[in-house]
Formats: sequence, C-alpha cells, structure tokens
Amino acid sequence: MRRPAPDDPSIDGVTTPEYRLINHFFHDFKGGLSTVIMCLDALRDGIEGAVTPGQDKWLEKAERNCQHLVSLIDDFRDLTRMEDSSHQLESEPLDPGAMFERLSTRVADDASRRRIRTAFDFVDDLPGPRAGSPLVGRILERLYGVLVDCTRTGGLVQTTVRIEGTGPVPELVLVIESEGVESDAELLDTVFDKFRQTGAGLQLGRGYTMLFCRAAARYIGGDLQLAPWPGRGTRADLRLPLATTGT
Amino acid sequence: MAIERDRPGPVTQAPLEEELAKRGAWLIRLRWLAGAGVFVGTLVLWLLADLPVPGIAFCAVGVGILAYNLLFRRILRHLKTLESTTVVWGRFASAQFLTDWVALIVLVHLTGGITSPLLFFFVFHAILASILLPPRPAYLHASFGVLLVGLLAAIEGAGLLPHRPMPGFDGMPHDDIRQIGLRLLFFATAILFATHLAGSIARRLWARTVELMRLKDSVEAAFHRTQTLYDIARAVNSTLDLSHVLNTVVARTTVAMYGKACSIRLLDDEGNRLRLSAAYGLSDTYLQKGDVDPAKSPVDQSALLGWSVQVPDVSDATAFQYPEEVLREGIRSVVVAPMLLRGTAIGVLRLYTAERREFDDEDIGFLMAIASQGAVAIENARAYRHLEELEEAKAKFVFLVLHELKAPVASLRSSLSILEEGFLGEMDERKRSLVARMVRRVAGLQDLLKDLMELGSMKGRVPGRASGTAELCGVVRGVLERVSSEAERKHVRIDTVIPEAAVTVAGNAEDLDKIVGNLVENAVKYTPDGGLVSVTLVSDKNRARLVCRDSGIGISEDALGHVFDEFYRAGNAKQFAEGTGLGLSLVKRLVDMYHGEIEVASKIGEGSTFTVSLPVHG
Amino acid sequence: MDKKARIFMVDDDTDLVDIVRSVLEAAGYEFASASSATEALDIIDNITPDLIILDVMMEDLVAGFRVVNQLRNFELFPQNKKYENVSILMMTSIQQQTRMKFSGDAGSRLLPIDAFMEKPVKPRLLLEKIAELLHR
Repeated sequence: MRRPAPDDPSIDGVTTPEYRLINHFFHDFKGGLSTVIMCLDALRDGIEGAVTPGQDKWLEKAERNCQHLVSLIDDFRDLTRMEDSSHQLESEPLDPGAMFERLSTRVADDASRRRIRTAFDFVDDLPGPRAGSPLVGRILERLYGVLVDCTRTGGLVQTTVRIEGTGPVPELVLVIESEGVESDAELLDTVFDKFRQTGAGLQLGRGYTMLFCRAAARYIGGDLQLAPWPGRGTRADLRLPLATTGT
Repeated sequence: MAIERDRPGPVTQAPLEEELAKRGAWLIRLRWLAGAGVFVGTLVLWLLADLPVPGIAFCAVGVGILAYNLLFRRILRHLKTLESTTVVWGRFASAQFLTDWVALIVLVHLTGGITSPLLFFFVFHAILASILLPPRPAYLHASFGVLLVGLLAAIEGAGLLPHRPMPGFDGMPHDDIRQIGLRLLFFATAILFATHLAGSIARRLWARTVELMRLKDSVEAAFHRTQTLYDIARAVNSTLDLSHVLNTVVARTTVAMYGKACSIRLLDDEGNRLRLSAAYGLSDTYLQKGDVDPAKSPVDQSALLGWSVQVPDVSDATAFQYPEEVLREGIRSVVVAPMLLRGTAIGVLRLYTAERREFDDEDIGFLMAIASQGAVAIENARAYRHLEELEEAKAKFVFLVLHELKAPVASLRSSLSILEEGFLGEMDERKRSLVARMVRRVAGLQDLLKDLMELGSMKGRVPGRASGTAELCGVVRGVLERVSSEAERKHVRIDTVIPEAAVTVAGNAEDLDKIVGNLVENAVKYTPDGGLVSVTLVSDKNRARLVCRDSGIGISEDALGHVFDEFYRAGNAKQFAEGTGLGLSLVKRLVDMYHGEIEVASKIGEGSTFTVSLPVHG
Repeated sequence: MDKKARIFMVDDDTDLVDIVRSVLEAAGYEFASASSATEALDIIDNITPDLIILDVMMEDLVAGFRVVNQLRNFELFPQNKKYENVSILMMTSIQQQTRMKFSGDAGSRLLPIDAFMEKPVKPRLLLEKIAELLHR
C-alpha cells in the first residue's frame, strides 16, 4: 500500500479517484447547462425566428435558472478545489473604482426590482488599479446576491468601503448591512457549516453561497464574518486583499 | 502476528552452560571406557594368566562403574532439559568425581592399598577434575583423594581391613608408618602439583572459551536486534494498521531484549495522560491499571522530556505511579524510552524484565531506535486516518451539493416543459424541436445527478445494506413492465425467458432492480428501431444467471475494456443516445457488492450481451 | 466581414454543435463539424477552415490539446503549416479541468491558441469574437 506522508507533495485531491469523478461530473454538468443556455440565447435572439414576449419571459426565466446553476456548480467546484488547495491563485488587473461602479449599478438594479434601497459609502478615495484574484469579483457578486435576497421588501442594503493597511497588500474592507429579519447567532453558525445547509427556512446562504464566499475570501487571504445587525437585520464584514503577494 | 522464536530466546540454554553440559557428557564417555576397561581387562587377564587380584571383586567394580555411569547419563539428560545453571553443572561434576574416588579407592584396596600401582590413576583423575572444575573444588577433590588414600592406608595398617598386596609390589611394608607417611607425602605432592598444573592450563583455556562464548552470544544478540529492527521497520512500512504495527513492535522488542514484557503508551490529545496503545507479556489485571499521569510518574516524565530512564530494581524505586501493581506483576527492572518524532516525545516505550538487570548503552540505544520507529508508524497511521477523514468529509459534502442541485434543475425542466407543451403559444417545428432538445438535455442532467448520488451513496455504505435476500424473477418482470412502453415506441421486441419457480438471491430488491433495470434500459436504448432484445434468467442451486442480449449498435473492441469506467461513454454510444456514463459503473459496483460477476461480449453493429451472475441464496 | 468564411467546430456535444451551426449559418458563415479530435484531424484537409472552434475534453481529457499541438507544432507536423493563420478558438466548460491556466496562456508558446472562451457563451459574444479573429 502506498503510504501517504503529510509532506508528500503528490498528495492532493487530484490523485484521488473521487476527485476525478467529481471533476468529470462538473464538466458534464456544466457542459449540458452551457448547451441549454446557448439554445435559450439563440431562441431569444431569434435565430430560429421571433418568439412572443410571453415565450421570451419564460425563456429568460429558464436562462436565469441555468445561470444560477452554473454559478452554483462553479462555486462548488472551486470550493472543492480550495479545500484541497489545488485552486490556482491567479492574479489579474483589478480596478476597485470601476469594479464598485459596476457592482453598485448592478446591485441597485437587482434591488430596485424588489424596491430595495442601496447605499454605498466610500470612506476614502478608492485606490487606482491593483492586482487581485478573479475570486474578488465573484465573492462580491455572490455576497450581494444573498444579502439582497434576504432583505425585506422596501428595506435597505448599505455598504461602507474603506482601505486598511499600507504596504504591498492593503485590504479592502467592506461592511455590508441588510435590513430584514435579524439573524440570530445560531443561524449564522449554520450558514458556514457545510453539513447543515440543507435545512429549510434559511434566509442566508442557501446553496452554499456564504460558505463559498468565506472559503474564497480566506483562500485569497481575506475573511468574511456575519453578525446580527441589532434590531435591523444582518451585517457582513468582508476583508479582501487587493494585491496578491508574489505575483 | 505470531512471534517466531527463530533463535534461542532468553529462557533457552546459554552457550556457557551448553559447554558445561558437553564436558559432563565427555566425562561420562570416558567412564564407559574406564568401567569397560576394568571389567574386560580383568576378564582377559583372568583367562590368559594367573590373576594376581580377586577377579570377581574387580569385575564387580567394573560393572559397578558402568552402572553408576548409566545413572549419571540419565541425570545429565534430565539436567539438560531443565536448562540448568553453571552451579548445577558444577555440582553434577563434583558428584561424579566423588563417586569415581570411591570406585577407585575400592580398586586401590584390592590391589594393595598404599602399595597399589593403581595410585597413579589418582593423578589422572585429579587432572580431569582440575580441567572440569574451578580451582577450589579441584583442590578439594585432590585433597579428598589424598585423604581417602591416607585413610585406607591407616585402616589397613591398623589391621581393620586386610592388606592384599599385588605380587611384585609387596616389598614395601604396609604397617611402617614412616614409610607410609613418606609415600603419602609424595603421592599428595604429585596429585596437588598435577592439579595445579592442569588447572592453570585448563583455566586459561576455559577463560578463552568463555570469552568466545560471550562474543558469539553478543554477535548473535546484535544480529537478532538488527533483525528485529528490520522487521519492525518493515511492519511500519507495510501497513497503516496502527495497532498491528505497535503490537509487532512490543512483541519483537520483548523477544529481542530477552525481556518479560513490553508496552507502548501514547500521550493523549491534551498531552497530559499516557494511554496504553500496545502491550506484550503483561497480565490483564496489570493493563487495567489505567492511564499514567506523567506528573505522578517521574520515569515517564523524564522519558517525555527525551531521556531514556532505567530502573534496575523497581522494589527500591519510587519512580512509578503504580508501584504495587508493578511488583505484583513480577517485574524487577524497567527501561522507559521516549518515542520521539522530530524531537518531540509522543509517547513512551517500556521494557520490563522479571530478573534484576542493568541495561547497557547498547540496550538503551536499541530501545530508542525501536521507539522512534514506532513513532514514525504512529505518525503515518495518523496522517492516513486524517486523509481518510478528509476524503470522507469531501464525499459527504459532494453528496449534499448534488442534493442541492436537484431542485433548481427540476425547476428548469418544468419551465422548459411549459414552453414545449405550447402553454405560451404555439411555436413552429424548428423552435419546438429546439425546446424539446433542451428538455431532453435537462432530463439528462437530472439523470446525471441521480446516478452520481447513487454511486456516491455506494461508498461508505453500511455492510448491513448488502445483506438480505430478494426474489429475482419479480424484479426482472418489474423492469420489463417499466421499459415496455419505450420498447413499443421504438418497435423493439423483447423476448423473455424467466423461470416459473422463485429465484432467491442475496441482495436487496432496490439494488437488484438497479442492476437489471440499467442493463435492460441500456439494451433498449442502444438498439435501433425494429431491433430485438432478449432477457433470459436461469439458475441452478449455486448461481442465478441473467443474460441481457440486444441487436443494438454494439461496443467496439477498444471500448469493451472501459464500459464499466465511470463517465466512460463509447464514441458510437454518445452519438446514438443520451447517457450519463455512470449506469454501468453503478451496475458493476452493485454486482461486486453482492459477490456476483458481470461480463460483456459485443461486436460492433451486431449487438451486445451482458451476463450477470449472482449467488443464489439458500 | 468575409461572409464566406468557413468555421470548423470540434466538439462532442452534438446539441451544442447544432445550435452553434444555426447561429453561425444565420450569420452567414459556412459551417462544418467533427465530434472528436481524431475525426477533426482526419477531415480537416477536406474542409480547409478559416477558423476552428475547439473543445478540450472529448474522447479523452486532453483531446483538444492534441489537435492544437498537431496544428501548431510545425516541426513535427510540417504539412500543417498551411493552417498557421487559421485561428483557434478554444471553448470549454471547465477551464481549470486540466489544471492549466487558459486565459493567461492563450497565444502563448505553451498553448498556442488565439482565443479562449468559457462555456456558456452567449451567441452574440461568440459572433463578435469570431469576427474579431477573422479580421486579424
């Protein structure tokens, strides 16, 4: 029997049949979804002739469903990879200013459909272009998705953004507060427990989104904490390093 | 693992004692010669010549010598089986010499007492004694011989026993005290001098012999230890079964160190208790004494700091947490060696001996080496267990993830179905076929989720699930009913041969349904319109055989070896129909689980035949 | 834009190939396809494409890379020098499937392709990318 030793570099998830099986599944599943999305898009684009607005509405709904599944499967895949450290820490140019502009527009857009108000408060001027992991964008997108979802209709999602620390890797610190049901500590615990996600009635992080956000934040050297926002809802504290060292 | 006693253990004969036994045997062999010599010599002289001595008495002494020699030989054999010590062998030799003196003095008396020519034989005997015995007993024996002769001379001189000199040797008066005294003096001097000379030569030889013996002993011990270390290292590297490795370590260590027992205690997670992990040679009562608190056990405390500690005599030591138990167990000496892993002690290895023993540097070094091998084994096993736990957690997580995907996929399917069924207005043929295609793809994704969850739940399955029995004919009929509509749609005929009598196999009905279902569904799926599928079930008293044959697209020779691989789909299969590539892997795993066999034969374009055989129950 | 440009798609997902065919033909391209790396390399000389859309995992995990290698390694396959200017657009669903970093390597020596897109791809974006590659 092969004897794994902790220092053996060949021991990561990649060598296990389990990993190959799951990877294969991710590939096939996402491949299938991609094909369906492409068909939906082609139909909506009128490649096979025009569709009625009523049909288009359902096609759009189906497409959203698909996109949701794609993001779930991407998150799961990266979660499993982060767990066995085989996820590559890429670094790409990142412009925090532009990123937040895009993000705030999108969040506001999503939120307005449910009459949710959003507010962004930049404590300092955001720094110029930086390098960061592509996970940064994903984390923010997913986190806002959940937080907007769990905000009550007519409620508020407010964000304070600041930069902490100087040196090569300053941190982007976000405090995001959402008005809704005040989360108690026990619920907040289960949000990050990957074996207790399937319970019903979770307002936060169904589908492992919060789990992914925290794992990804930690993977790139940051962190995510959730806390009750007393009397009003939930508060998320997110720290993300803006430049990965050594790249 | 059985401990081979491939080499004499601590309780078998050591070389020194072996040598003494050999010498005892040598003496006995010489005596056969002496006894026979006396008897036969007397007889011969008697027949050939005029015997100068009383023949019958002489013969009787010869027989006597042979008789008591027979007794000694028996004693020797007995002593050998008892694994006697040097002291016992010394006593045995003395007893032989004493008996010999008595026999000799009888002969001397018969040949003229102080005037006997046989007195010379005393010298030989003294020499023999000084070779075989340590100096003090050798001189004692020599003196005893002189004393016996002196006593005999005195008794004969006093007329208490008749003096019967041999012809030609009777010139000397046997009652002249001065003469006798002088003779005795010479005799004593000769014997003691011979004893001294022979003794000093023999002692030098003896010293060399002993040294050689010791050397041989230590070489063998060293070899044995090396062998033990090697065996332990091999055990450490060949298995991750921690208890097996540690049990091997303690057992081999006990044997190699000629100890009484050996144990390994490991620090618990908090690092403040020493828990028993393996033991050899210790009684259950002793082992039940509980965890050791290093704070109360100075020897263990020192060991945990990296020092090995020896206690040559536990009765005067206060170094143990359970001193009474140690004494009651019959333990005399203890060595405690640290089990070091990268400089940190993770536990202790203890060796116990029943007799008082001082351990030298070599012993300690050996124990330290064994202890560190044990530490490596422990780390390996712990690392592996950790990996296994991680793997298990990951599999569990994946399972939950798959579960989580089910609902959104179902909802996607239903929104597409609404479009397909025209609830939102008619679509032209091209659009509808595109939607139908999407529905089919999403259904495929559902199958993928289902199959993978199924496959995943096979792992870590409790053995109980693989128990129970089910009736196979019913299962097959159920499957046939399920696929009939699809077969009708494709105009695929299904021929079936199913026995009337029940066929009961080991397995649960749900799993058997998956096995049969996957095979028959595949057969229908990969058979073009108008084709033929045949399902045959036969059984004898040992096996049930299910043969599922189709006239479908077939499997190429290259692909045949891979059809049971997860996610493998042959090129022609991919083009022909949707599939997850997991169905046959699932079938294979289930069949394996129930100790069955599955075979596949196929020819491209002609069809495939899958044969499953399962053990029949009762 | 050259409306007669011929696009060769190599992908084992027949549904995807069909929908991409519809999209590209609607946009006025000629379209051909193969469902495995082996088939693609067999028939490419008959097709003489202007652009290749290539999947990675087909008959095996790295089938797509094999195609790239044969079409770009002119030392080993001098006969393929004629495809030097035919762009390769790699399109796969799991970019890190083979632990290879695609985005940074597109066009590099390690993976000499011209562009990389991760599935799912919007038809509009696919058309834009194809137009861009054809006009290089």
